[in-house]
Amino acid sequence: MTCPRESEILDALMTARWPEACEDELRAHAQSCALCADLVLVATAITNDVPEAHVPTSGVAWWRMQRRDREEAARAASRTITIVQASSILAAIAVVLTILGGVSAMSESWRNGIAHGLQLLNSLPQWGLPLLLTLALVLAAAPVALYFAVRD
Amino acid sequence: MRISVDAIMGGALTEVGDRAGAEARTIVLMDEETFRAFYDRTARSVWAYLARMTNDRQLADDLLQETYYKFYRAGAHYENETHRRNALFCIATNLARDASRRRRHVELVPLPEHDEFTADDHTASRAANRTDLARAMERLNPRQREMLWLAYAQGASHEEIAQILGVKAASIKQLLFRARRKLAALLRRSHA
Ligand SMILES: [Zn+2]
Repeated sequence: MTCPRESEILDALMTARWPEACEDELRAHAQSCALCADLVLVATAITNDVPEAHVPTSGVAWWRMQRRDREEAARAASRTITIVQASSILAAIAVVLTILGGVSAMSESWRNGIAHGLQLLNSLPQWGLPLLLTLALVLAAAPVALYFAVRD
Repeated sequence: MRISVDAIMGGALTEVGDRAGAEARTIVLMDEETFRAFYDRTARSVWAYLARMTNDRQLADDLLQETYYKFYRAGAHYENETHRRNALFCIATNLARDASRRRRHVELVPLPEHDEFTADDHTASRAANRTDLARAMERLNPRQREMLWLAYAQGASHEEIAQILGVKAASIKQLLFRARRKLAALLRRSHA
C-alpha cells in the first residue's frame, strides 16, 4: 500500500523540485512503481490546479468582522428589546384591567365617600393584589433589563 | 458529517494536560494585530481550498469571510500555529460541506479563471487539465476530495488531515491511498 520512496517524491513535488531537480534514478522509479506513478499524477494535477486567490486584505477582513460583530450585537439587543417591550405592554394591559375590575367592584364603596378608600383593597378580587404586585415588579424591572440589553 | 473544532482541539490539547485544556476553552478574542498576521499567512490557501471544494469562486469569497468570523468568535486559545490552522481549515470544511449540500444540483465543472480568456496553447491546455481534474474530483466523495486537496495542495501531514477532517489518524493512510488510486484511475481514463 505504500512505497518507501513516496515521501521523497512527495517532498520533491511539494518543494517544486519535481522532476527537473531530481535524480534520474528517482524519476525512473516513479515510472516503474505504480504507487509513485499515482502519487506523481495526482499531486501534479492538484498542485497545477491551485487557483490564484484574490482575497480581501487583512485590514478589510478585520473591518468586516468588527462590523458583523456590531450587527450581531444589535440584532441580539433588538430581540431582547422586543421581548421586554412585549412583556411591558402585556403587563400594562393587565394592570389596567385589574384596576378597572377593582374600580367596578368598589363602585358601591365610592358612594360612601373617599374616606372609605381603603376598602378598595378589600374589594379587589382575591388574586388581584398578588397580580398587581407582580406586575409592578415587572414594570420596575423592565428598564433595568432594557439597560443590560442595550449596554453593549 | 460536521466536524467539531472543539473536539479536535480538545483532543490535541489532552497531550499538554488539563490546565492547558482549560485555557483552550477560555474565550479570548484575537487582537487586531494577531488576527491580521494570521489572516495574511492563511487566507489565500483557505480561499483556494474553499474555491476548489465548492467549485464556486464567488461562494468561496463569502465562505472565506464566514470562516474567519467563526474562527474569531470561537475565541479559542491554541497550543501552536498548526492547531490554529487546523481549526481554521476544519471550520472551512464544515462551511464548504454545508454550502455544497445546499446546492447539490450544481454541476462541478470549473469556472474559468480570469486569465483563461486569453486562450493561447498553454492556458488552453491548463484549462483542459483543470476540467479533467474537476470532472474526476466530482466522482469522488467530499471527504476524498478534501483529503487529497489538503495532502497535495496544502502539503498537510496525515495527522493534520485527521484533525481537520475529524477522522482517526490511523485510518488516514488507507483512506488517502484509496482516494489517490481512484483519482489517478479517473485521470488516466480522461487522458486516454
Ligand atoms: Zn514507489
